[in-house]
Amino acid sequence: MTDVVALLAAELKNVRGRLTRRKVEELRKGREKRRKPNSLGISAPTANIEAAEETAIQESVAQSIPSSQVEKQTVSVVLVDLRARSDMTKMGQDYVHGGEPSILKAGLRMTSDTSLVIVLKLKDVAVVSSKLSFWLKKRIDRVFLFDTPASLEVSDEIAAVICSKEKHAFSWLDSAQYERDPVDACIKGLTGWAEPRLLLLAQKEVAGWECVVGEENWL
Amino acid sequence: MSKSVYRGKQKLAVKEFDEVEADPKEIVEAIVYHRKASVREHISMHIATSKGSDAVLDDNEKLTDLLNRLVECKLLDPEEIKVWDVSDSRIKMSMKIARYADVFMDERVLPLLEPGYSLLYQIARLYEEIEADEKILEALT
Repeated sequence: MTDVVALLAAELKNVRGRLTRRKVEELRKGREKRRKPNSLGISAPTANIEAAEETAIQESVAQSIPSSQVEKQTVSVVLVDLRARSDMTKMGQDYVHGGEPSILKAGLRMTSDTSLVIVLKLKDVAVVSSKLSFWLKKRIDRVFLFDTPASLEVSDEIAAVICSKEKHAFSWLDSAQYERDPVDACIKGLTGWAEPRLLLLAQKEVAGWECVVGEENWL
Repeated sequence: MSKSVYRGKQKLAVKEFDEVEADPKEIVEAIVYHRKASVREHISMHIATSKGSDAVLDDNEKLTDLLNRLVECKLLDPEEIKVWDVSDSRIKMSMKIARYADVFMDERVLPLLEPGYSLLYQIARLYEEIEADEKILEALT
């Protein structure tokens, strides 16, 4: 029989600083998010079986996609161009772990150290936010606008959403507004900073980047 | 005059505050002792609220009297009892906290806590979720 009090004490001890309602609520929400339906449709527990669960996901993905793709190396930077409405519509669909399209399966090649940059319209941030767990990210760390808004209506403004532990690696974004295309600006800014680099929903092959072009992302 | 402080089951002597030497260890022991005592008292309050509410729940007159008295001593807001629903109230939070009093009083958990409705309620919910997860895990393995 598991000592649940010991597990609770361990979770509480791991909280940084004072225990507050908000911090404990976040712990609970994190637990809820990580709880995914398994193949039997049962919500599986999380904390202690995360490793087993990850293995199960890897195995399930290995069965569903060519092994060459699974065995590809871990990436340091992932850039996603989610500006197109059609892509965002597909992204907004409900996916379960193991049954997600390859754009989300890219998470299997990411670690907590991988920096994720997503270029999108500001109004779509919520959709992307709900999919971050596929990319092994918990939250959005920073949001940059590529242009100074002309009015208070900012829904369609193009933004770069960043999930990254790096605090100072994105200073080039300050000058990105002068570039003609936001994705080109990101490619330019990220090239040479860290590698390997993966570009999802790429419009064309880009030197120095592993690119997944067009519909290949949704297979 | 000295006060008694417990570290686990070991009884320690801690001087009165004005006699406390500038020993950080001793100072922290005194602080933690009082914090633990306050959490214990706080949980006792929830047990009293929970048991008391349970006892009068089926008697409208007594329940109304209890609620009015709780408002009087600033334990509930008047708005809370206008649309009284035990399933959605601070009394419900108290009931849940009281249910897990043993968990809160456990020496591995107690020293980490501070008194407060919402913190203890969230911890009770977290405990329930860990427990549910573990049950599923046991069933699956």
